[in-house]
Amino acid sequence: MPQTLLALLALTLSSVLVLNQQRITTQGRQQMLSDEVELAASGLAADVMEMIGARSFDERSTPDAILALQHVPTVPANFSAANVLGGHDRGANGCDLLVPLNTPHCDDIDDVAGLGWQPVSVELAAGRTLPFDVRVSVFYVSDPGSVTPSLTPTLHKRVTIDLRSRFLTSDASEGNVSITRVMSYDPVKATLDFERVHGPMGVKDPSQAGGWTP
Amino acid sequence: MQSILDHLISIIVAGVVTMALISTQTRSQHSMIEQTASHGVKAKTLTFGRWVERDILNLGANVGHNTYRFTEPTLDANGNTTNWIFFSDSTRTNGTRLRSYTRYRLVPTQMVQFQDTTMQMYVVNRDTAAVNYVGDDVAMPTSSQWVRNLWSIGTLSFFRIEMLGTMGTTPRTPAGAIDVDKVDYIRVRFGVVPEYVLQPDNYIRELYWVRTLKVRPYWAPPPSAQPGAS
Repeated sequence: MPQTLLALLALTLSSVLVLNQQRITTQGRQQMLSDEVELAASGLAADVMEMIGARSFDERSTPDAILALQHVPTVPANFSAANVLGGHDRGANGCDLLVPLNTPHCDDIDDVAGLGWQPVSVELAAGRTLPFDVRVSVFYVSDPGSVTPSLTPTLHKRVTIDLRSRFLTSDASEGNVSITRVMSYDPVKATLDFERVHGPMGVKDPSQAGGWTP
Repeated sequence: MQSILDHLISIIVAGVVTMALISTQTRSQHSMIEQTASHGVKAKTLTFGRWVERDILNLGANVGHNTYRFTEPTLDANGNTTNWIFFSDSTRTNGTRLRSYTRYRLVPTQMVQFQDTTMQMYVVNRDTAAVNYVGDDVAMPTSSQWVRNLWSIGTLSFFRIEMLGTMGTTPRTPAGAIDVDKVDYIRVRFGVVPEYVLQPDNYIRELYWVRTLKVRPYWAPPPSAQPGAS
């Protein structure tokens, strides 16, 4: 009888020890994988941010808009109203967050706002991929350091990117990784974007009203 | 024999407990080594990424606005960048102008068998060379001028450098070559495999690093603002 009790006690203790050790090992492994996925996620978020910044600042500063306006916008009053940022002019195909060429109507920064979670993958070696979901929000801010949305157009738009992955354990409802940056309007960039599409400014062009490009 | 039969239950229990403890201990050790290796490779990945980032952000010093400062990368069949040269300009103390070239060479090292796949490992060899200007011209370095400059790691699973325009695609000339004059961004992507995973009984794990860097300074005056532009 005492031997049986001792054996049961030994089994119980070893079970507790083994299960506890297993839990700690699993937690450590999960944390390690999370770290690796977060490294990829932060790189992808920065990548998406650069390609958003490559777009025009506003629908009124795209190369075609400048051609129609016949001048490069310089004041915030030229830009879209704060309450219409987002999907009204991005076209039916949505936005390709990494290759803007694939969705030509998604041509300015705020077009990517309010898309919801978009699937984006990173490509690893041997054809394997690591999938993420990306969500973007864009709103005007009064200055580059501000985090409060501005109700009127300004020269600055705050872009926030949330990423989530099914391989990350933290709460994914608001995204596992978030980065934010203020994109400020640069008339020189708008000019260069225009010239890349329509050629040098101030050149005689009979096809244009008035006979000149802006 | 009688003694063994008398203590059969104890022996079985002791055996089970011992096996459980050994298994736990082995698994715990395995996990600890894996975590240490993972931490190490993450540090290596970030460090190598920082080196590459620094190289790219520094390319083109003194070269002049709106002028390309890199060559078209050479790719292998898997899309890896096998050779890429970029440069910046400087002036020697005696007033001679020189061009400092940097070259990335991707060299295959070994094939590694993982539990679920076989992969090629690579090392990036970083070479530098300084070539004097002759008048306003400067030649590409000869093979003897390149000097091995380290700054690399040896367990890369892939290494890709992409030249991108603002539309996220590679600008090309009508002949199909990369139009380096129109490159606005350089995207660098690579994967690093932990050394510990180089044992055949492990699943493959890979750390992924990507950075897209703007290399064309658009604060340079656009052509229409140049003197004499019509």
